[in-house]
Amino acid sequence: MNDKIATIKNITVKFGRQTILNNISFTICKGDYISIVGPNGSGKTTLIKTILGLISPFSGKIISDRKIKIGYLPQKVATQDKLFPATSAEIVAMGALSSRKSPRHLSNDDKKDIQKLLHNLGMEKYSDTRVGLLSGGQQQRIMLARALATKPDILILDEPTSALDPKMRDDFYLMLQKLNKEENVTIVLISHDIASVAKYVNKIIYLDQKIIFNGTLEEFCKTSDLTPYIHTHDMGICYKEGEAK
Amino acid sequence: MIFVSDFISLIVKAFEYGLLTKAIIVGIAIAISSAFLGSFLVLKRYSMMGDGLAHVSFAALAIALFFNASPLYVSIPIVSFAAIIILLMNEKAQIHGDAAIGLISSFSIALGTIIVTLSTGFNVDLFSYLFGNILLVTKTDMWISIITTIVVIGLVLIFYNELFALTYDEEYAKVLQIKTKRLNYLLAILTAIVIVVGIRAVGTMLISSLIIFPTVTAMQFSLGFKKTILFATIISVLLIVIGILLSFLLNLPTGSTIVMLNGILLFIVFVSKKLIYKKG
Repeated sequence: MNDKIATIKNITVKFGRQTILNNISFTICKGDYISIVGPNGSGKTTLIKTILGLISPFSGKIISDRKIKIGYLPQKVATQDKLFPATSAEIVAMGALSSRKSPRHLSNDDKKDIQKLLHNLGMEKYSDTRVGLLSGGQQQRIMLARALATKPDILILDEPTSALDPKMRDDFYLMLQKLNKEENVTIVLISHDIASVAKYVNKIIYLDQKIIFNGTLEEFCKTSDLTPYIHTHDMGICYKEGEAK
Repeated sequence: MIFVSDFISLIVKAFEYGLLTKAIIVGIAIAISSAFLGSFLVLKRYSMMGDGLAHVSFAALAIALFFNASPLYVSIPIVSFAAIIILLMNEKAQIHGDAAIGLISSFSIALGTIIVTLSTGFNVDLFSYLFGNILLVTKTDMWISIITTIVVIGLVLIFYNELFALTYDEEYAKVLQIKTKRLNYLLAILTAIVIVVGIRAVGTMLISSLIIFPTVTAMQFSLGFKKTILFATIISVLLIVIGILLSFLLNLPTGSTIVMLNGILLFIVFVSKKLIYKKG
């Protein structure tokens, strides 16, 4: 668990004069399943986009002793356009482009890997189906397959279940937990709802422009001085049903 | 039957005199290149880029005729430059794509009109560029169209995977460290060249329809991206050939006939799809 993949060191992000993220530091180790939680507008997506290199920080840096490959599942997927003519296999193939140099042609082995991924996620029969015709849960599996096709050191998911119903959401989180436990995939999961993710992850980072808390769920619930900084309903995760708060 | 055989013999004669051969070759070349690019442009919501650049080509044409220079050689750099300006406005000045296209497009029309007003004596030429006259294409036009098509097909095939990623999800393409800026410029410049060359066939006013119609029609079938491009290309080629022949036989303007055929096919496909879904 101590095999460091990346260290996020003193990251500050500003948009104009407004500070979105203030001095963020944490470490991502091999096999971690981290959830970055926090209310809307707390800077979760900005933090992820900074790690992905889509936003340049005002100060701070991301340190790694190797080139890290990131599999990314964005909050908004383009498949919301039902008419977009792309099959599941074509979408997943995009992920495999990460390891290729321009003009990035895929080998037959890449194509076999794509089919294997679709098979592993139970989506093989939809390989040639237009992705916009799939259900929300199926589309999310395709996007997960695309992220995994990069053979990532870190899998980053930004609110992956926001368009799913509670049953689909739990199935999706279970699938991620399986990937983390059985295949040792390192996962960073963004969520605004700590209650839905806390039971699956092994580390919680509570963000509200700065890091309010970084540790396990158990530590989260034991840290009494957090209450003024954390939304009351988020603390509810520490109480069993019916228990007095 | 006499009516049909008369038509056939007229077409045969037209081919014998070489009148239709060049037109058909140019038509096919333009159909292929515009449909190849169309899928990327329509799905990137850059459909109106073609329309805007066609308006720029009107200004370029007026400049070329004013200086008595070759329209093609003047138009290609000017329209390509305009395509780059549109992208730069989008990137640097954060003016949305449609607004940037609108600004460049209306400015060009205004500029072209002023040049036309200041000059006299090229109104006839201008009309044929506005609405196209594929039957008047020269051998040079034909070779330029063929070369353009080969370049477009070649570049699209080489960068296909990256262009697909860029079209589907530009932000994700950036995460994959694809050079999205460079690809956007490539796409814009190729579009500019196809527009300039294609104006010979259907004119400034209608060229963007060759980029949009076949792709939108092909999108109605639930196909993947590669198959949609292929299908759009087949539709585009067939309708251009039929359009050229029909316009020749019925003495109709070629560009308008091709666009009308595209419109009718899209309508038929769209209605049939709705009816099939209703029954299903």
